[in-house]
Amino acid sequence: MSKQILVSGFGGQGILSLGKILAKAAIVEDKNATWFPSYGAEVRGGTAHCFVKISKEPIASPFVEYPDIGIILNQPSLDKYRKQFKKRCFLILNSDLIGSDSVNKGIKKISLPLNKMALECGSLKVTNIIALGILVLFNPEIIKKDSVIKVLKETYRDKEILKQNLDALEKAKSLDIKI
Amino acid sequence: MQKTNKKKLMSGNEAIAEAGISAGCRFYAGYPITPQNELIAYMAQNMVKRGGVFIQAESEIAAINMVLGAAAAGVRAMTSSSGPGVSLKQEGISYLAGCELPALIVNVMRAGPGLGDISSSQSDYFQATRGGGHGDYFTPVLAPWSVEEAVKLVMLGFDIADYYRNPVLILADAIIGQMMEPVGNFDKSQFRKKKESKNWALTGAKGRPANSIKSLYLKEGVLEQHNKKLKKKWDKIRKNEQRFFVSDIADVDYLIVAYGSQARISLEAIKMLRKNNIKVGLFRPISLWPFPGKGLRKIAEKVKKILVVEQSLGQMVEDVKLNLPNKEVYFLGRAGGGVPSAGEIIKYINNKLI
Amino acid sequence: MKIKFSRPKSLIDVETHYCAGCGHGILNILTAKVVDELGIRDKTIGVAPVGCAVLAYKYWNFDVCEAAHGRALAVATGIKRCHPDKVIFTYQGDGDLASIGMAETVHAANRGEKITCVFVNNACYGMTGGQMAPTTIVGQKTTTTPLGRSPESGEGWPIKMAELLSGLKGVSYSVRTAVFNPQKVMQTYQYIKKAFINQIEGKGFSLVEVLSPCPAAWRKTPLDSMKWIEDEMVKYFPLGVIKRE
Repeated sequence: MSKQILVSGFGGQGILSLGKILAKAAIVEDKNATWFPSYGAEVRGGTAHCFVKISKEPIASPFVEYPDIGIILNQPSLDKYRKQFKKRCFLILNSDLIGSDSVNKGIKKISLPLNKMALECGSLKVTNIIALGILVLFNPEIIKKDSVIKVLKETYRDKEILKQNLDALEKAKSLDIKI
Repeated sequence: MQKTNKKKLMSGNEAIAEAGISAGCRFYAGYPITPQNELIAYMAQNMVKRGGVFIQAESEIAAINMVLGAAAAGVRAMTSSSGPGVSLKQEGISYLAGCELPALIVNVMRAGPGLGDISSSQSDYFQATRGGGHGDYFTPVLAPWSVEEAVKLVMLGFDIADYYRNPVLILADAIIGQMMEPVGNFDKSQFRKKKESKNWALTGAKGRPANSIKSLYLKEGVLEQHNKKLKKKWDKIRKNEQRFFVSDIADVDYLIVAYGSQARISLEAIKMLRKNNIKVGLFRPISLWPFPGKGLRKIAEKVKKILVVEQSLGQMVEDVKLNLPNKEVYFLGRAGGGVPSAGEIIKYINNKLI
Repeated sequence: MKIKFSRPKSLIDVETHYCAGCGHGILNILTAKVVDELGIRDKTIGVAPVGCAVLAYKYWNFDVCEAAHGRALAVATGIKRCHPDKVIFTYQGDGDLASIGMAETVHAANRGEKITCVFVNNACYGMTGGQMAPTTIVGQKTTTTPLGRSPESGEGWPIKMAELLSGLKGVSYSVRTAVFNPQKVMQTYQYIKKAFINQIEGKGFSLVEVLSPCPAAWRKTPLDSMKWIEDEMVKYFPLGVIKRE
């Protein structure tokens, strides 16, 4: 079965690129992947989302109705998709921009100050990568961390930017996270 | 060590552009419109590097006519747009058909009518499959359901265009244009190898009589002869270029007919229905014109009921009904950017068909 | 005895379809003569417009492409960019170039396409029976301006294409000429030749606007038509070189 991932937040938070890194990492692992964005006038400041599906089998629809994983980086996104998060969904929330994070019962939820953590890594731009780090830490069966590292190395040639991203990917590891 | 995977993550728009260049297209003229902007940007970044011509035209009308000029010059040429722009291109497409010039036109469909919006739609089916512009003509229409297939169909489309000397349309919806998938094979040799001689092209009348490219036939009866000649060509295309894909039809009670992204969403519904032992299969036209009626009629024989699913208020369903006058044909469609979901399809089949 | 004038090799020996006194015959010949003299017949590709000159390929003995109404310069752009070593020219009327094809004209000129444009200005739509063109002069009666063209009634002023295009950086050569007497015909020949040479030398867009008679639509005799160009048209459309780089 395919793993269904929903990423949503403000435009400019690296929503679409997070999804692309995931899909590229799937290629590294010889899996099939689809990435489908919100597109058009939704740029910096607006809301943006993307659907990613990863599977060893061919993927039929690229649409995600009930995600296995939700990465939600702001309040409006949580409000929009709250009802679509069902039991056994794994949710990563950005507590810096989400005040009320109540969701359905039975959902595994990790709520962390991702903005603050990103600034600790040197740039707000790596907020998305911290979230990605949490995803691979708890769900290696979907995507392995090494695959993401490979994609990051291919994506960022600038050493300093690459280091920021790699640090961000490991950031969650140092915390004692309880689900 | 992990083996290196040559596949790249590409959007349908980018892959269509790369497929064009890989297929030997050396002329692209276009005009920005969402949701196909990645296509024109890819062409801008890559066409000149690969020895071709890229022009951002002043309008869709200019773009299609530049393509006509390039095609007349004997060069593989293409343009792309979305509904509102493709409407403007209809003039040029009619001239291409009248002049018997090969070219590839990509329509990444958005929702209409009018300016509509930029969300996905399949509402240009009638325009694409019925000629679209003025006069008696058809254009072969190919509809991909994945990024990988979009690559194949662009390459095939150029070959069909050259072989028959006729414009060919790629009818993608915004979902196919925007979504990204791993894609790797840009080897054009997988298709028709025979290269058609373009001795009709305008290259300067050196050592041969002068060539002219035209669609005007004023002398009485001459245009009718020209039309008859074109009809023969289209009859041949009807016979030889019907393409379709089927899934889950070994044992089937209900058949979903859908194309493009909607066929993928339908397949998701089929997988879920099959888990509950409801025998549903998929028939997916790849060529929308010529409509693969022959294949559909054969498969429909053993089916109880048919459901056509479209991102429109019902266009392809008319072709299905024309081919299956004695079958119960149901229709589920949404317009204005609405995309029938797998859940909606399952619900419709459970409530209406069973 | 030396033959001074004969049918150019680039002109096919067939009967003309143009009306008596029409300027197209003269201009078809002049263009063919230039192609002959420059020795470029086997690398010339012409683009014929919609209008009376659509059948130009009946007369020209080199490659010709027909274009939709107004689109000649877009088609020519496509051909020229694919064959930069060939000589490409368009031959267009006023409705084609200055009305329905204004966008294509301005943008091809602005891109500095290395194309030669022969613009036949006869102040009306000849082929469709003499309606108002963008170049119809003020007061001129046509089937769609029965009282004479009136800017005050919202019919606009005649467009001076040679001047308008000369303001664009991509244009290297812009002239206006006429064919109302033999001297002017020879002058026109020189201008067209210069516009072709410009292209061969790799210079930008070249325009030759020619004031040309349409006796049938003007409801005038061929001779009166020539006189009308000299007396009336030239007053509004001054002749000469407007831009040369």
